[in-house]
Amino acid sequence: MRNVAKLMLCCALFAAAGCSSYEERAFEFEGMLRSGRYDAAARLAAGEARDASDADRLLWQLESGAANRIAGDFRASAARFADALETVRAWDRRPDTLLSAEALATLNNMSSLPYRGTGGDRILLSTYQALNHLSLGERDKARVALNLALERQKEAVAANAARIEQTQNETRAARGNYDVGRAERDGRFAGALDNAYGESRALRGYADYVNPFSVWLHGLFFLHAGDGSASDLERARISLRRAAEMTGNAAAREDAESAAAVAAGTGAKPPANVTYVIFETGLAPVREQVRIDVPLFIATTRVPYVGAAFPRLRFRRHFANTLAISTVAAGTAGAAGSAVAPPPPPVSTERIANVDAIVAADFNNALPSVIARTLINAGVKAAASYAVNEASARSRNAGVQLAAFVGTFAYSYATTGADLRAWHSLPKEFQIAKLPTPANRRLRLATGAAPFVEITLDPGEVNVVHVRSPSETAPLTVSQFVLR
Amino acid sequence: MNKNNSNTLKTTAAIAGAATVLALALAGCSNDESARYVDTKGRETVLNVDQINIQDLHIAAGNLLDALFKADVFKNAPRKPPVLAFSAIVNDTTEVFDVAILLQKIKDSVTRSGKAKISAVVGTQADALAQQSQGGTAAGVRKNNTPDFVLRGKITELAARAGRTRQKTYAFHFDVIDVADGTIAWTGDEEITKQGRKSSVGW
Repeated sequence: MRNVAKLMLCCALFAAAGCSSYEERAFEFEGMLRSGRYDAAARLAAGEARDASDADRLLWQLESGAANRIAGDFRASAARFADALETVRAWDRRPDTLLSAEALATLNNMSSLPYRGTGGDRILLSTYQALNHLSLGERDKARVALNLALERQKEAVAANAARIEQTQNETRAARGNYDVGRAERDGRFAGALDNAYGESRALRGYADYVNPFSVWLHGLFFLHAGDGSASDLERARISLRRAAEMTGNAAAREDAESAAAVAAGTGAKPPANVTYVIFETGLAPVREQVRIDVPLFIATTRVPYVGAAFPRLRFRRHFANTLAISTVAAGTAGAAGSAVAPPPPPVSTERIANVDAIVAADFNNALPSVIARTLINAGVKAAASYAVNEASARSRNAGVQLAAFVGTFAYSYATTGADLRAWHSLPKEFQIAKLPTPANRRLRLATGAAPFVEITLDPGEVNVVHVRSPSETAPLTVSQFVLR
Repeated sequence: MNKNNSNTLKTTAAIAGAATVLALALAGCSNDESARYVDTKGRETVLNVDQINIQDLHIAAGNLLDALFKADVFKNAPRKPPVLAFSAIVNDTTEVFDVAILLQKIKDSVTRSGKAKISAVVGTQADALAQQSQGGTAAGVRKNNTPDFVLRGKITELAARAGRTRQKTYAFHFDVIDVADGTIAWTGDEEITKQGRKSSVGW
């Protein structure tokens, strides 16, 4: 009995050490992004990606890729995202359920399971990689990455179907130890769930794991940087139309019509002398832990409920709402008496993808599985602790009873934790704007609270400017590439 | 044997059993670092459903060139052997791989066959030439170093899934354009389909 208690204590200490480390580092990483220390954030994420366990490696590779993008090092970002893609592929070749990891998760909690990336993560991994390749002038690779981004959307649908099946099997298999269905019908527990998940459940994602920004970028690429073949133009038309239908974005609708006209031969070629601005603002929701009492079905009246830890989403409220883009007059005002045309009014970016909703949709789809697994885990651990303590009470040995109590308490305390892993550096929203390229090719970009930035557009017929603002006050990072 | 001894024995056995299972699992997961040579075109090479493997490129290049030579496209060429330029081969799949490997295999085979010479005009230059010829402007400015034919290609993929079975088809599509009149002198397709089944449970 003492040995069992010691084993549980060791597991508890091991679990406690592992959990605190990830959360502390993720918090530190996020603080760096919010305060504009992008290079430091990139270094931290790179170090974590190098040292992370197999279970957490993908997460830090994603953070490292994104942080390097924000810091403006596209070559490093592309390398980190390539590593992340390899990790995703390696996990995809392995079975969906790894018994070794599941055994560890039963002893500890769901954060012991390998992080394989959500459907939304995988789509954005390829989308960011496409942007990296475009920034590096690698259009052939950008084409491949955009193809993969769209393919990932189809795969996410299949993965969700597999997850539903897996949850049903696990729930059925665990029925001898813990009745998940009975717990979910418990009024007190169901009420607590409604309370915890009301906000995220109210957010509706886009159909079938679609990220409209990825779809729009796919369409934009094939409209302006495709090979001009009927096949590429048709892809541009379909993607831009889908993005416009999902979001009502005027720029996407206009380009969809243009692609249709060119494909049909009624439009000479796609529009030129145009500049697109992509604005990534804020940070995506993070996960926080909420303790909910779950019912125990043990033949005792003393402990009918036990606390279990569930993840829930915390949405960020502070972010730059929009980006104002204005032209910059060449030099100062014209000579006295000369007629100077008034500058056109600033153009504001409009939302093309609500990442809060995309993350929430992923989260909501996975939630039944998370709830079922947490219930089984909590129920089984509580029943085991109860059995150990009951057995030690029968021994009538005070030392054994104390060891059993301390061991089971410490084990339960340290291993009761939710899986809080998430890609922290994603934006809250993707926004876009389309405007005629000014004759002097100069633009001013401003959000309000952060210092504005002025840029001169590179030579080209179709320019794309990318702006990132992780928080209201963090400095804007600006980059650009030419599509045509 | 008293009850306490029995319990101790059971606990020890359980821990020993778990340690054995863990050791076996770790042994199963370890990488085999013993490297050896395998035939690049043989059956021992690593095969993935979700990636283009080297043997896929061998198969595609070999079959497409067989078809091209059988069609005897170059028999009416203005000079013997004709000069063939290579335009870009567009990778339209979901995987980044070095298209140059495929291109080099084709160039090697064409050179060895003696059926054509390889032009130094490559990539975007050859692309422009192919487009000019199709617009009827290349023939007028024809020079000695102008290629007689331009080969261009595209690789696409189609993924399918049914339950745990995954399938990927890579389609290699090549055209040979006659620069003299801008017509497509030959067109060929080669499809490679790979299928695999992923197990749902494992270690």
